[in-house]
Amino acid sequence: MKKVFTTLLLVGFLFFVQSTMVFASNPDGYICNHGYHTFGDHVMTGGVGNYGVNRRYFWMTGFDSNFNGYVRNAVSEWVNTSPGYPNITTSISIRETTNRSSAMFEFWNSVLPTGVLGQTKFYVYNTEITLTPAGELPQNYGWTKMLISSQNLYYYGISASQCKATISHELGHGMGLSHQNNNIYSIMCQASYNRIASRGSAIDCITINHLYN
Amino acid sequence: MKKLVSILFLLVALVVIFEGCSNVGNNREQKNSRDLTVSIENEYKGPSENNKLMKVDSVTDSKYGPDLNVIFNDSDEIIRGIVKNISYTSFTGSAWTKADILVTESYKGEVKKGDIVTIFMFGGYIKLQDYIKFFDDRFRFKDLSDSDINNIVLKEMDNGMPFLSEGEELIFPLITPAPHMPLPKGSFERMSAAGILDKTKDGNYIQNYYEEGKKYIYSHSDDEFMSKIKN
Ligand SMILES: [Zn+2]
Ligand SMILES: [Zn+2]
Repeated sequence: MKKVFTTLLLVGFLFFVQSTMVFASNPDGYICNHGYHTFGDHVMTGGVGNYGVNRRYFWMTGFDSNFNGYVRNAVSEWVNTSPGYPNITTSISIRETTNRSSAMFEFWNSVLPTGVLGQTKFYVYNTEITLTPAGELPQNYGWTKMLISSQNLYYYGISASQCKATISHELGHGMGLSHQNNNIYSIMCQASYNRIASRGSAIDCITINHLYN
Repeated sequence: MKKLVSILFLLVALVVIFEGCSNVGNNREQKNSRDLTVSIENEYKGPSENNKLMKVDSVTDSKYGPDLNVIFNDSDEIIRGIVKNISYTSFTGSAWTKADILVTESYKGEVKKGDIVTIFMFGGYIKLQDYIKFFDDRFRFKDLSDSDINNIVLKEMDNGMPFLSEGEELIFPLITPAPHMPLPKGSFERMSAAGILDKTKDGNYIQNYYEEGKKYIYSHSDDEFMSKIKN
């Protein structure tokens, strides 16, 4: 009996090792010195809402009513993380505005290449910003443009929940989160690595708090 | 007599099999090379020496990771070719690269060795004034004068991936643009940023995959490469 138990334990352990090894092989985003998936701890200047003290705004254009709804839901789920899922309070306070010049988060329905679902661009006023070969942003940034291809998402028959997840994922980038391609439960896992999260999870909120607390 | 017929039959079968095999890969050349290139209205040759460059990087989320089995399977064409005539254009305010490719080898699809095709891919140069015209966000660049804006060209990069250069010979998995894409009829689109390969002199295939600025290099042997195409 003891032998069977040991064997089972061994098989289980080997299975675990193997599965983590397979996971660990996915190309991944930058991990900061503190162990979090960020772009080198560079953030949006002025924060992501500071618990409502310095509220930020998003603005969107070009979407149909389905996608307008996905964007609103995606933002609202990032704002309302406690009480409820995942029960972690963050400083995120973002609301919709029609006054574009006050919006630091812009969502555009855009033409993107076949296979590309979303893209986030980082901007600093009047200067350039590029990713380093290590995957960091070189400095803080002023605003972001998140381009979504609703046409590609429709073309591939992606579910409503994962359409919204694409928008949540881009907003995660917009707030400074890098990819977590070895954790399918993180919203920062890419669709190509079989993400199942459809909104920010505990690790994503903890990473936000690492950046903005 | 019966034996002789059998041997002849076997020989014929072998010849047929060999012909079939050699058709995969190399000898798809046809007598008349075709110029399949297309032109577009909004074409930009890129910045001049006098322009100031402003680089804008982005993270792009694709349905495709670096798995070549998936990329090759979803491709309509897989070609090797020499990059010619690079120019740039934009769709909904984002810069794309347009390049003509002289096909030197065809692995999958209708395009043949000797043909010249036009391909489009994400990333490229766009004049800041054209960018602002589309996005209507002059207010984001309020510290720049009008003459600054007329002089600045955005270099829009995708995950830090370098642009094509003329004269390079690379392998491109391609697709016919989906019906909703604004690309001209007869052109092709790069299947995935992850799918471009460089065939080295020692016969290996090098795949450079860019993930948020980080470069991952995968090497594939000839056998691996070929088996991924056939799968
Ligand atoms: Zn950190
Ligand atoms: Zn992403």
